[in-house]
Amino acid sequence: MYTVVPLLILFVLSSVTAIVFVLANRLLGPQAMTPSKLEPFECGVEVYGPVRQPLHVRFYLVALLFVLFDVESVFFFPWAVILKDLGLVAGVEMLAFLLFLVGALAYAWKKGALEWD
Amino acid sequence: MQAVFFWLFSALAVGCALGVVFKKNPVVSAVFLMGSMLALACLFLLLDAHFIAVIQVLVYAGAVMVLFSFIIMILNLPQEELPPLALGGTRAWGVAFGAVALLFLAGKFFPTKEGFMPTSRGFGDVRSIAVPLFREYALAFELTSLVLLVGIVGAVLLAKRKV
Amino acid sequence: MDFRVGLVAVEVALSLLALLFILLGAWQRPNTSPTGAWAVAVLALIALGGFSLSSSGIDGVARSFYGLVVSDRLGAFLGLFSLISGLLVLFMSPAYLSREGIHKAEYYGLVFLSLVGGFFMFKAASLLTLFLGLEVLSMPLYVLCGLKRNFGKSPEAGLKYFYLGAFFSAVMLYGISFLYGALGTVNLEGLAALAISSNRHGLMCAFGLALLLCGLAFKAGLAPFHAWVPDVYEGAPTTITAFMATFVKVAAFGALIRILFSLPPDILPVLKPFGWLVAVLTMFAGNLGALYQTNIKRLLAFSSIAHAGYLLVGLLSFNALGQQGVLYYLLAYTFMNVGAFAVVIAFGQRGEENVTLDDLRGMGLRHPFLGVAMALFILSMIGIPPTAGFVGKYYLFAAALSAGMPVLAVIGVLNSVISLGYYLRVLVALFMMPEARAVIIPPKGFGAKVAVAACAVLVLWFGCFVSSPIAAFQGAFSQSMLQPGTIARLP
Repeated sequence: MYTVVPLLILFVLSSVTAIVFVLANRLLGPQAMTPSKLEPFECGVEVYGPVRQPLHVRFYLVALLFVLFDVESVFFFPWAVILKDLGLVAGVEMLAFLLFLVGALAYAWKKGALEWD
Repeated sequence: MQAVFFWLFSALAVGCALGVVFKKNPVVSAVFLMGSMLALACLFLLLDAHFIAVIQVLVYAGAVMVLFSFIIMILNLPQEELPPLALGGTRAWGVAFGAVALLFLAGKFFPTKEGFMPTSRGFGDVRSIAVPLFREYALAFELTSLVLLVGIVGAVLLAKRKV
Repeated sequence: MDFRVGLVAVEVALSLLALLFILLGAWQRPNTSPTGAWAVAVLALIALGGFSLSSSGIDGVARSFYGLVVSDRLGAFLGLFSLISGLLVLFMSPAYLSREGIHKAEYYGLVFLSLVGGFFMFKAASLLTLFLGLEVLSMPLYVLCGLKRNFGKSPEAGLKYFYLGAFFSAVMLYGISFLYGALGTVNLEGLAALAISSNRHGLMCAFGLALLLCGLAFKAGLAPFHAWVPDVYEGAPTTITAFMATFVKVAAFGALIRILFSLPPDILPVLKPFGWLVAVLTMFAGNLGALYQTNIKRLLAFSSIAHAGYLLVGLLSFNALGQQGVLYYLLAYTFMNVGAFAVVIAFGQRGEENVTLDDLRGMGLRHPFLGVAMALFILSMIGIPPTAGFVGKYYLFAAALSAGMPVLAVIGVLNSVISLGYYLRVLVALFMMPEARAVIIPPKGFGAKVAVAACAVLVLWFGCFVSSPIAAFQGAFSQSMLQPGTIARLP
């Protein structure tokens, strides 16, 4: 429990800092909302439509592949910790696991799922 | 001290979950969902389940939320299209039933005086997860690879334009 | 305790076969069918089926993977049924796939992966294995249902099945988490310590068990969780519909058997009224719903709901007759259902046309082989001797009578009478109505005909020669579990 206390302190401090800055800006700063003040300032381009344009479905494919391989990589952490103790058994287990996932990667690659077009 | 944090993060998790349901803008809902996931990760930390907490942040608050926001962008529902949350007919029954069930269960489960049980040394770290995962539950680990394989094949088959 | 990978050799072989076909799908030339690989798969499934059959003769219970998987005769029999279902579907598939323009070797890979999941469901000795098996079974099916991306109802079926399936997986997992919280273990032996009338833990147990059973009831298509069945069965490719209607039922009922027979005996009086209600609801929902259908795939979907109800009747009687009956009926149901769907495929045209009752008019006389086979399957579904369906139903209802549930048996028989209303409509359309279509396109598909012939012969065979399978099925339960709760006392 007490090992996470520094983490909590960090969490609280960062939250408080963020809230204080936003509130201070809102409370102390002058507020004159003329149309020209609401324009993009110094950076960005002129607004010419809603920002939420439909994305192409291939984004979804990339995101999904990312999640699946992310989940795969999660299993490597505990495996790396235990490898010395379990030895060959853990090695064989991971090879069996990887056989299917490398197969899946090869499949996705050959199908062109990793290419943009 | 622990009880305070427990109630704090529990309230945060439940509040964010309610936000997911009641916010009409799906992007806002997604952000609330992320808040809920992070609060859950904090609850795992309180339970000394450090590794699970990290995974919760990495996989759920990280990867899964990326997927969610991509899907929201792909579907891109204009805000007007979402119907208002009316409480009528089936939904009213559902809410009523859910509320009764919740109160019933809460009444049964909550009066606990046990508090937090002390944990053994090394509980919840990577090693304590790893040993059973690769010994007693090795089969579950291998089956996961099959699930991931199907996920990848299915995504390519169904979402790829030219297969 | 050890891994003992040899005990899951069938599952390992199926997984590797699945991987092979998936990779083949990436490397095959466009618009070709993998005939050689298909033949290998057929031979492999026959070999694995033979292996399951031979291992079904061995008495005793063995555990593997630190007790996560149990290998016994029940598992071997259910595995055999699954492999038979898979093999029949394999025979129907090439002609159907080339007609529908699905030139994908991944199709076979996903079917094999689904089989692997089913095996782990009914060989589960732990709720964890059961859940993961369910996921490995379901996820390929979600993809397969939506495989015909350009046919309107197929993506809808895939999506509907996926959303509802994911929801019920979550419900089931929630239930398992409650059971784990109350019992401190996910092993099925641990369920014997379940006590729902004791204290605070009792409520957690009851809640968890209820959610777990809801999840399985969804997979089995039991009322009130049956609403997805007609839509999904209609939209899915017909071969996959046949696969789902038979194999998924086998897997779901296998898992139900594992759980119900792990419960302590004093829970049964509490559980039985609910089961009774679900069985009655399921039978009526299936049979009354089917009365209104004109699409043959939807009609068979509703009829499969009704059959799940009959199976539950046998399961609820908790006696030797019921156990034999459930296994016999699962086997008979596999043959008659796959056969009926194979006939539907043979009569159909590209894009799932000609699958309404009107389209079938007069086709029985035009194509006597298919017509007579369909009549046989329909008679078996009604439960008319000398078909396998009759024997199965007889055992199920006799079990209900001997278990002191005469009302349930009477309701079952009443439902069989109701089912005449729509089954006879199919027969009338096939044989007693003038042909509807001006241009008759001859049904195609050699493989489908092989499947139809095999199913027809086996429906008759198991309708006439009853004693040896019944004796074998009796043995399936005698070793591992005769009474609820006995599984806990096993080594």
